[in-house]
Amino acid sequence: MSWNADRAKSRIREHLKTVPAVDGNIALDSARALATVRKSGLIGRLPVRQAFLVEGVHLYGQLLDFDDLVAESGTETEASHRKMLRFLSMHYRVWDAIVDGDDGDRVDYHGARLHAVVTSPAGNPAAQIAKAVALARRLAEAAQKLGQVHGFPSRIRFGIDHGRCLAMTTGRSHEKDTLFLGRPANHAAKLAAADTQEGIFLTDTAQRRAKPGAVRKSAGRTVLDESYVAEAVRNFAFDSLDRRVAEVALDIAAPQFHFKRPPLPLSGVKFADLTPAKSVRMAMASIFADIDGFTHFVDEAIEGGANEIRQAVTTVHVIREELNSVLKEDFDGKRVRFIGDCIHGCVGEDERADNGPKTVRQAVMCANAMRSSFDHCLAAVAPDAEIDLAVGIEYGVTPMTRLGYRGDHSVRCAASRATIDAERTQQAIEGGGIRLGVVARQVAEPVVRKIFAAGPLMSFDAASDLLAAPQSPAVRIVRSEPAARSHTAPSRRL
Amino acid sequence: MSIAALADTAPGWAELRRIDARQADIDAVVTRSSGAFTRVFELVAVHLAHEIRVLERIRGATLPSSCPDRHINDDGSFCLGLRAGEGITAVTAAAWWTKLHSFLLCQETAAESGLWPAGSQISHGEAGDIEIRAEGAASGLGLLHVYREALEFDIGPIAAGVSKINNATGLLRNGRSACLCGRTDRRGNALLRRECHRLGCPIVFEYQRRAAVDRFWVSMQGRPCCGTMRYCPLKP
Repeated sequence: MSWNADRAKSRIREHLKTVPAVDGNIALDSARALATVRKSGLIGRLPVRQAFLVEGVHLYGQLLDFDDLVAESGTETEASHRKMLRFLSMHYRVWDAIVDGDDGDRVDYHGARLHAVVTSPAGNPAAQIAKAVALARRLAEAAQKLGQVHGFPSRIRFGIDHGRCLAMTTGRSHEKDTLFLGRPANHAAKLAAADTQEGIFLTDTAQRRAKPGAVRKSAGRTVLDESYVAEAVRNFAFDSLDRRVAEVALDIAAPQFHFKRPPLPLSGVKFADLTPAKSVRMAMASIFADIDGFTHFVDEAIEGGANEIRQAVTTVHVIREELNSVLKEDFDGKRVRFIGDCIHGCVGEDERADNGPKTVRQAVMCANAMRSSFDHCLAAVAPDAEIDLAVGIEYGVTPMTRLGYRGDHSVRCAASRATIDAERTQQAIEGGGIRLGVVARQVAEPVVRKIFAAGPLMSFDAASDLLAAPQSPAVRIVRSEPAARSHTAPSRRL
Repeated sequence: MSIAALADTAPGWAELRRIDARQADIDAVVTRSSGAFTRVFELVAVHLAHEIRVLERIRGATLPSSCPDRHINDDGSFCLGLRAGEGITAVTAAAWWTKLHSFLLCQETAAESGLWPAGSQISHGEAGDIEIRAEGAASGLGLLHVYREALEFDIGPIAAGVSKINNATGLLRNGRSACLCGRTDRRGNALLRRECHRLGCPIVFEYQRRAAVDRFWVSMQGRPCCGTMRYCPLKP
């Protein structure tokens, strides 16, 4: 199957019917929103079709040693992937302790990036930030201790920001995603990924809202004052975290990962069926499709009030659901997760053996189809929105599995050099467009490399014609009538 | 006669609005890969001397008034294919419509991307004839795909062979060596380059084609650029 304009329009009409409800009062009243969140327990258990405005701290942890674990001597092998997954599993189990207690809420894990939200004490940003700092310090200590027990390097860089975000949950069972959209989540994530120096770092906003004296200048850089961190650690206990660390430290029986090649299409892979012992692994293209400018769009909506928030919720819901539909229904791809306003998915081609050129071509066609659907979405919900689509693609052997504890809280995972580089490739795009990672460029067919290595995304129709896709009528015409190829005569005048 | 033949064979995507013996007004909308429609192209087909020319009724309305890379001639007429407008009869009229169909689809893609689908065009000017001969030679050797790679991406053995041509003779150097295109005789022995030259070597054709393309662009110097194509040599 491939992309079809009428089918996309029809899907968009259906997506419009499932837009999460935004109650005016709840959306604009953080205390009520939090009350609802608390009542429902974990943020991940938020009602699927409701959106909330949540004020709190966003804590991102970037596992700095992840890149080195993905490959052994530069090569990704089953052994290196097993080791990398055991490493992630260990960290995910520790962070899961945050969920089990009432210290904060786990939001999402995406490979080496872990995200938690701290929403208490309600209405006290300085205390929320102090609690997040204390939590980060305890997580860093836990990682160090467990790393020694399990034989992993475990440096973490934390990014912390504070403010209001739009929260919404979509999906069912093991395919559920809770998203936090807005400046605090975005800036904290960027701060965590900005450098390779471990430690705890606050954004400018978080620094302003933290208790006076929380940060100081040291050698021209702003660092957390150690006495502030020590006081925060004394003031906030994390009993469940301590219990979990002790438990994981004793549990040296690491999960055993066994890989097999998944039956295609990848869209048929269900995370619910995956366990460490039943993991899948094959060469696939990782696709990161991000809505450029969306954080600013959401921030303006949050400032603008209930109507603007409804508009933003509608826009992000329709766009990401449609991007998911394009990936899954039109190109047989598998969504790994939504990450904020971004969708991470994979496509793979050929049942028996890896086929790099065909897979990258399929990913590129998918990206351009996403662009066409994106345009239809904008026309339907936000014609004036200054947002664009940026897609990064990388190719490589990637394992897929579930990590952490069994049940609804287990974590979907597709992690490899390709997934890391696909995201980095996407992040390198200025504005909208498409870019292929180094490996994807190497394996791509010459025509794909020439036109789509880096540049603007096109419509599905233009991409079909330029890549000589079988469904292109221009291609079919030339195949049946080779003389139907345009030409330019030597200069003449009428 | 030609206009009548076109009228008799008009496909569903073309509406003939006004016809006389010498010309026909055509409104055309074609369907793209996704099922979406193109714009409405308001065209006129004119019977001039021994050929049919087709162009926009209002020149420059939706397409550039002239652009070699969009296959629109100096006079605004479309170049649908090599000698596509000549000898239109009841037998050949359907093929003319097919060429116009392909041309309009590609115009839409070119307008959006600044690129013309490589497989839907042949080289400009007299290079077009050389390309057809080269394809014939390469096809006979089972090297059509290799030839297209040389033409479109400048890669592969044929592209590499072009750099080994003597500019003075236009032939491969070292005539007594095995030909780089891989041509063999009936017994499977490699053919010498000088023998391959006589039979029509695709490497030599490609060299000639490139030279003809260069001459074409030299002849176009000074022409205005419409600015719609990504790699147009006329771009200032």
